[in-house]
Amino acid sequence: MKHKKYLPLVLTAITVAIISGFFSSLLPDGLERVSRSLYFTNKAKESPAVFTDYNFSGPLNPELSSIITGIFGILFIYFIFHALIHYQHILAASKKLFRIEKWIFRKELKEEEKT
Amino acid sequence: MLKISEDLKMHIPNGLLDPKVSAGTAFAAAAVLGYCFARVRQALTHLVPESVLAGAGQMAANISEGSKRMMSTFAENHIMKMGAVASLIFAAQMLNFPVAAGTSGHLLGGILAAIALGPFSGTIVISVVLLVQSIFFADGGITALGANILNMAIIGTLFSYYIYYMVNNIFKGRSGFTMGILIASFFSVLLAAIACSFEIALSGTSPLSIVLPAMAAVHSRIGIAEGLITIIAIEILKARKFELDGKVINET
Repeated sequence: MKHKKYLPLVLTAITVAIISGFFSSLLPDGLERVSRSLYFTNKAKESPAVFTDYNFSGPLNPELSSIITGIFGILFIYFIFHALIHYQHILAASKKLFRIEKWIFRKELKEEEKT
Repeated sequence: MLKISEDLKMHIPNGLLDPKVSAGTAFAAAAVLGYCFARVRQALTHLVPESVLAGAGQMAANISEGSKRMMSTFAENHIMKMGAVASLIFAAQMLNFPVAAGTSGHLLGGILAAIALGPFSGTIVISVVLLVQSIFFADGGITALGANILNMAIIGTLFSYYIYYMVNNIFKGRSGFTMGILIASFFSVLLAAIACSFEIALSGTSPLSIVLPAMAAVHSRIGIAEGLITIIAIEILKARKFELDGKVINET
């Protein structure tokens, strides 16, 4: 990997994911607590997803599957941004795609073109 | 002990919002995200003069057809930083800590992202985290994604950054930095919760007079924890010589 500079941060993230697999509080969180005490939690529907609530159905215990899916998520997010560097031309794409940008930066663009 | 499948986290699940509110918040979120993307792109690229384009040769491979913009040298570093901070916030959002009897909360990370990367990059980072959570982990419904982005990424990051900015203008120096982070983190969680309860009330799920006090009471406690965790995380990053780009790009 070319960019090792921020690898410690990603390793920290993986450590946090492993810690959270074992120690994350299973108490209902803010919104869920409120929705339970006000009796509208039954209205919430589970949306279809690959790993519903950081779990995949399988022989693994919930802690381990939560850690594995968490690490998958961390690496996936990291590589989204990593891919952005390899496909820089998308970010620096043709101005035609960004007409709205011309309107937002009309003053700054004029100054930039002068210099 | 509760089953993990019952644990819905802070994000709004499918079914709590009606289609009108979902569509409205999605439209608002898309508009603001587009603006943020434009601001980040503006900061990370620079205009290439025609003369340079003509003589560039191999260099021009990086520049797409008809483009006059090129990534600056600062950009690559900044995008790597965005990826690292995004993965860190994703991991931190998995870690639920108990805040009161029978209730837990987790880090929102909005102010952390905004201070580490600048408000516009921070908003994009939190949105990517929310997107991945809703697609792969059912943490926050896909139909409620717009509302979640509006609450956490836009109100909890972009808007709250200006609270930090204003506090920083009143109290100068190091104390202003610390105070700003604590106050802005607290309000980022509280305002996100208030926005969330407005959306739930507008959808007719539950009356505002009941949801709002309940949400505000729970999330003000989470907000205090958020402030403390954010300040510790920022201090660790500073000690590790992590450059905070919030000062460098997109200050206002």
